[in-house]
Amino acid sequence: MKKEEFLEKFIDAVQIEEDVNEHTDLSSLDEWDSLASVTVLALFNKYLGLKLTAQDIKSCMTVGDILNLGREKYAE
Amino acid sequence: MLKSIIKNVKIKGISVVVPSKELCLTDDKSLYGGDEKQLKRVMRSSGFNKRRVADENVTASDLCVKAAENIFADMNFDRKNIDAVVFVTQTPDYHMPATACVIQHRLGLKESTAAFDVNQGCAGYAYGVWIASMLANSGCRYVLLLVGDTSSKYTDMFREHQSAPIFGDAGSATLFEFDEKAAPMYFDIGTDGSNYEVIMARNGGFRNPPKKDMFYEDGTFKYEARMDGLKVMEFTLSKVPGSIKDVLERAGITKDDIDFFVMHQANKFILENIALEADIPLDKMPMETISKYGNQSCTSIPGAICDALEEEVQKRPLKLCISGFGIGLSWVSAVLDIDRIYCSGIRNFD
Repeated sequence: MKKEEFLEKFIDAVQIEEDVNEHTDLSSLDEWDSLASVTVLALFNKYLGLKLTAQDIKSCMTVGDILNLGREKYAE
Repeated sequence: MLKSIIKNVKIKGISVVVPSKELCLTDDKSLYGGDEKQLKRVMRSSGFNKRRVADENVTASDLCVKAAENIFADMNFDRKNIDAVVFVTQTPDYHMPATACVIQHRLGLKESTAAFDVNQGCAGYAYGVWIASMLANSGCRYVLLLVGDTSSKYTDMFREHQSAPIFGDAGSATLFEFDEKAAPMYFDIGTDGSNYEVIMARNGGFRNPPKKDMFYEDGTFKYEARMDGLKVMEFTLSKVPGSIKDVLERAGITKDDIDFFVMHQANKFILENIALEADIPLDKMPMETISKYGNQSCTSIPGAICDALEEEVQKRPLKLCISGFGIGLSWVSAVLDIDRIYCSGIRNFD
């Protein structure tokens, strides 16, 4: 899966209604809560086969930080 | 993980009892600061909607006693045959004595009955099946397993947070019999005590005994009940699918041999992800109980059996894989053969 496709999955799964880009602060999103972070953990497992830890997700400040967690798994 | 095989024991019947008082998440306009859109989003993902809540004076043991009475009455079973009663709960009647002793008396069980409590939550039913089966294969002919919780009474888990109350109260009874012709039961059991704080109620025991500052103004006790949802998800995805695969392998079968995978009904989202990771078809994994009864804690597996499989378990032999996982952190997966057992469905307490 390409990074752009994963971003779409992220927006869809977390049900984000605002415009977002890699610089968007997660804390600025109404939808960013504990359920959203759980959702993201599952997304990495589902689409990229990545077993991340809770700490991986908690350390992210921006949408770009989230996407960066999958950097070694994206298709070109 | 610990592998265990128990022979010569069969399950005879299951009953589940819930309080009749039903609450819906949409009833509480204060959730998520009144943001209805957020609440709907959570409900869609988690599957939560309705749940049953016990009155102030009703405990888990009350629900379980009623479930046991269903078994005795409907199966025309003589309670004098019970040799052991095990009560699995995290909401006992008292700090001491063990609630199982009180239950022995309330149910009119004979004096030569073993009675004790087990403190287990989400993995509690599968743990209880393991313990009850060992007892039944060790000199107890009939064993009564009672598993129940009134988790809604840990009110402060949701009181100080913007999250939604998800726990539904329920009690169950399961009857086991020694039977040399019974198919073996297979278990896979594990514990990660390094993460004991991921789900816990910190106050009220002897590490943090009750003090004046542990009460809300309305007199309610601050258990400091907490759950780190993200860590629970990390734990679930890292342990549960592997535990299911291991227990199937131990039983010498594949997922195709299993009729139903009955998981702890944590929430819809977690179950869907376990199914995905363990490659289990969703039609073999009941999860409708969540929207009707909430997360029933240790009772959620018998809850799902009595809700979704009430007719199936009575009319034909089934091979079930059950898996409980959560507080502890603890997990137990098991493969069980059941053959046309009694099932009460889910009945109201009052």
